[in-house]
Amino acid sequence: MNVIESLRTAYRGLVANKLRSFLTLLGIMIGVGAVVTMISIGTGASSMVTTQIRGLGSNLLMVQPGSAGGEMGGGARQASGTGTNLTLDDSKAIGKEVNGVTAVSPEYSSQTQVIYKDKNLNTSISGVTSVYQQVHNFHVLYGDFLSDEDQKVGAAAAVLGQTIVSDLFGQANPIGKTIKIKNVPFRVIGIMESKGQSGFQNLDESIFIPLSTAQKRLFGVDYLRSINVEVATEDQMTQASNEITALLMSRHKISDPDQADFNVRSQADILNTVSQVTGTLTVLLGGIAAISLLVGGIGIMNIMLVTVTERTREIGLRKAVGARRRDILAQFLMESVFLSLLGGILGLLLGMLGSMGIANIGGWPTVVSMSSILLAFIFSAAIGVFFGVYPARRASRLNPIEALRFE
Amino acid sequence: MDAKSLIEVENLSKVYGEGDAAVEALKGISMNIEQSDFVAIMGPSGSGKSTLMHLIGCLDQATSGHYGLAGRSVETLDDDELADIRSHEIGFVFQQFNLLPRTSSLENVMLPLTYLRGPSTDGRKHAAELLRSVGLEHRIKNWPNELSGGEQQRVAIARSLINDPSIILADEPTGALDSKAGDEVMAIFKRLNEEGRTIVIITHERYIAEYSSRIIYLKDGRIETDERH
Repeated sequence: MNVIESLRTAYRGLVANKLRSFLTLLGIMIGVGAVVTMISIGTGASSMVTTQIRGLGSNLLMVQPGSAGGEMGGGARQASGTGTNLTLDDSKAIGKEVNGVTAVSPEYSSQTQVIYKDKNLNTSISGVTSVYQQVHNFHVLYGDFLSDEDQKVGAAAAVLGQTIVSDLFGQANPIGKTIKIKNVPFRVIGIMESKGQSGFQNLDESIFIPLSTAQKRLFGVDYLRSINVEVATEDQMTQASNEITALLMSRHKISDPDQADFNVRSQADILNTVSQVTGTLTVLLGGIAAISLLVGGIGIMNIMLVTVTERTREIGLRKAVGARRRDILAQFLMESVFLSLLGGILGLLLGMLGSMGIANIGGWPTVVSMSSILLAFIFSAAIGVFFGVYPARRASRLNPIEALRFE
Repeated sequence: MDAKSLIEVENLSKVYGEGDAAVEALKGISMNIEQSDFVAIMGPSGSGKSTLMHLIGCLDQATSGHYGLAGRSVETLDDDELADIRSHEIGFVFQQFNLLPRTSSLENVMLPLTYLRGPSTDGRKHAAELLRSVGLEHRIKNWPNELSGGEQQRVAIARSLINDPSIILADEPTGALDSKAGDEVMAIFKRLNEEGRTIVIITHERYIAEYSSRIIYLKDGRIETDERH
């Protein structure tokens, strides 16, 4: 019995019970669809975050208050970025004393209310200095950025992200207009280029004002949220990171590195952490979806067992007219593989639609990779074989005499 | 013993089960069936006629004894070789027709070709001719559920002929038919025999057996009478 013949037989067996075959196939279809969608969400998230972190610049070190290895020391620790112990003087000291540093950007940011005429919104206000543009590779598009003079006098000047402009001003030109941040009037002097999501914040939704103004006039603090350090070359990153750690430890009078009240991280460190997280997420999502695939496989086995029982007399007849064991085995195996493979293909389409839908509705980039397509194919074929072998073997081992007598 | 006999059965016995539960269904059967013979096997239920049929049909192996079919010793064959013999040498006709549902008469007749290892011929044309020869040329595309019992059995007869077997085995072929349809079916067997086919039928009805030229009567696993008429 050749392959085409057994395919035809399998096809006819399935068509004979259209609804049943479809429902069985649906189990695999949903399973494969779910796996493909989930993996595409995971890969999409991972690639999105990776790109954003890359966008931060590869020669950037971030110093934030709080400890990195909180679980090592006893007692309560503050979470990263929430401490109050990094100061402008720390920042200046880094710029002066650490080798290979080309620019240091001290920053303080906080959420607060912004008002223009009758419109208001709650957004991120970043107190930065003139080097911010250089360190973050994020530049002003229209007008001017904040100057050293603005920093020195604590000027009430603001540079707006693109989203802020469209939210507050619509089509109007905002430069020269006055907005109120926490009821303090600020003159808009520039508009930033569009950068979108970067790291964990959307820079287009930020307003940039002089650091001194942010600390003293708006929020009344004297500490920093972060210090971003630009290092001349990537080779000097480790050296610079160590020097910064040593410098800040001596400035903060800490001798045990585990007790450090700050942490220094490079983009690569963050990338590692994030890809670990998204990798785990992808495996988790895929794993949950794979369970539904397994259930689909059991559905196939169930139906194949029913089919074998139902068609016992047919099996007996086929044997009587000359079918060998392996002909019967091939016929039923072909049916289950046909079912699961067709389910796999439809599931793949469903998964692609699903991930496109999520990309459209959720604004979440999804990637249906070649590997997940292959995975879906191989997996569904394997499920067809795995769950089809037992019923098919049962069919092939039927005694023709008893099978023919079966009522 | 004539070496040219199509079927040679010598001291054939069949035991089902083991130990105390063993049942001896056939207790040493010996007979020959010649080419172009028409044999009816009769006997009460439990006489072993079905068992004999299964052995002759190569659906089962004897416990002991010799069975030669068309010059080959069947008792030495394994499962796959038995399947090949069934495919090439034997055409079955069953009491319950055993046609595939939702499958046309033509496709049903062609089914055994699926398992025929060897050069494939134009089965479609041959199958159509066979259906015409049993008077069903107008039923070629119908499914079994659209046919009467007699028509279904005639499709089954056409199916048994598609591989041009040496012997046709019919197990109670009229058991599920009314007497008119039964007579039609037996007339076909009669004609096939006149054309040179070797036919063995099992029946418990005397008037059906009368169509044959030789009646073997089994009782308790042994041949009681074996006579031509």
